[in-house]
Amino acid sequence: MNPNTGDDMRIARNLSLMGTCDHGGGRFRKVSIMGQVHFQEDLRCLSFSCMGKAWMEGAFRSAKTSVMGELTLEGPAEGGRISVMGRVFSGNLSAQRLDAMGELTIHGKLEAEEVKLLGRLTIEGDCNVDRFRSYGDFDISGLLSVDDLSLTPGSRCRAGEIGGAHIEVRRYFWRHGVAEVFRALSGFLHERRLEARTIEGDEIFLEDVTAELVRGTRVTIGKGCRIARVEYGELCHIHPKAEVGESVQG
Amino acid sequence: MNEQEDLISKKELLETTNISYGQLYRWKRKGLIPESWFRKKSAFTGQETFFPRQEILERVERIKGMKEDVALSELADLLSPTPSGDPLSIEEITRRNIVSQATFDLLQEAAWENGAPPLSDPIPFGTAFHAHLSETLLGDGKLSREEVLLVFRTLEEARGAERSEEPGELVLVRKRGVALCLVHRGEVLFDREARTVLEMDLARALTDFRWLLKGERT
Repeated sequence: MNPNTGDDMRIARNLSLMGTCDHGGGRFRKVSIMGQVHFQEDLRCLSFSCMGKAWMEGAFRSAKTSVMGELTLEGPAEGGRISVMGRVFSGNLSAQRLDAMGELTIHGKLEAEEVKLLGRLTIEGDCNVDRFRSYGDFDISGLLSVDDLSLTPGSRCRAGEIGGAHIEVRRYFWRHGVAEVFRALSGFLHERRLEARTIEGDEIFLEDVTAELVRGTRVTIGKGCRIARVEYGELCHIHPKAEVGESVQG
Repeated sequence: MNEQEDLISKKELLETTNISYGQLYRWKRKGLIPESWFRKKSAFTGQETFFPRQEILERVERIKGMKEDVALSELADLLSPTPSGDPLSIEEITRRNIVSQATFDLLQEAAWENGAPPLSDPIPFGTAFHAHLSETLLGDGKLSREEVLLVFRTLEEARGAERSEEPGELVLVRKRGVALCLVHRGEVLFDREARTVLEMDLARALTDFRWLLKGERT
């Protein structure tokens, strides 16, 4: 459901809060928070921006959400286009598009069409996304289900299971730019690696991955991989520098 | 209800139905395949996922058959286990022969006798579904009229309770000529003298009903 179609959204007012307060929630057009707010009831709006700290007890629904401060969502949340530069804690979260440069902790399930991750993402349940791009790090306890996954581990990334059509994990390589210097340096502190129990997909390309089982139609195991067992349908390439326990066709 | 279910492994499923991992995961994501069908079991390669064989094969064929002309989200609505939808006009469903006029009259009459509110027009989606079930049961001829009315009443009351999203299973048992109807979402055991006359998976019946409404033959 699109919050844009809300019948009385056109006459709803804007809400801007500075300072510390409790608020009853409601329907608004634009909500911006610069102080510390505790919403006791449901909040529904077209755009939500939080530069301070907000705590939501009821349900949250917004077409556009941007968080530069800290946002805690206790109820069901539907964020539309979400961009996180600060910190977000939530239960089950659904989004159209999620850009995470900050830190996101989800005690439940994440549903989104597109996720772009540069920061840190922790999910205690499953993660259902159509397109997932990541340069950051994540820890997903359940299943990461994607159509198209392309990632470069920023440090240690973990997922219980990964399943999808196209799965590509590439090793970090040096690009030009000042930020890259810090990125490269942080590589000395953390090992950049993806760990998963099982990985299943149609097209799989892996580098620097540790997994118990990789199963796919066309599989390429690249440098730095440690895989206990590979099962493939049509094609399997294994790099000489990869450690693979056994590989079977079938 | 039986313990030893016929299961199919994920790999075998992909081979027999000729679908890809991507499709399977996508369908699960969009809610076309219920989460409860994914059963984790330990195998020699660690954990392996299994599915109830008959259900999953039927479902995959159905999705493959419908995929071309229906969007995935619409398909998810069709396969959803919750009996919710738009109310239907009695005129339309009798014209399309989803529920015959005779059945409606019978249900109306029974409602009148029991002092229950009469069926409204347009009729709620769930009630239309139950009326359709009564229609097919009457057509089957395995149950008597009274028993079909009992089934209809039980279903309506179970819907009123609305405790769970899963519609559950409909069971009718007879013991020494007395019929007992129940809807359960787990497992029930009856004593030896009870004869199970009818067992029906409501989720599957609901999907069939939705298909029928869409004008598709199953």
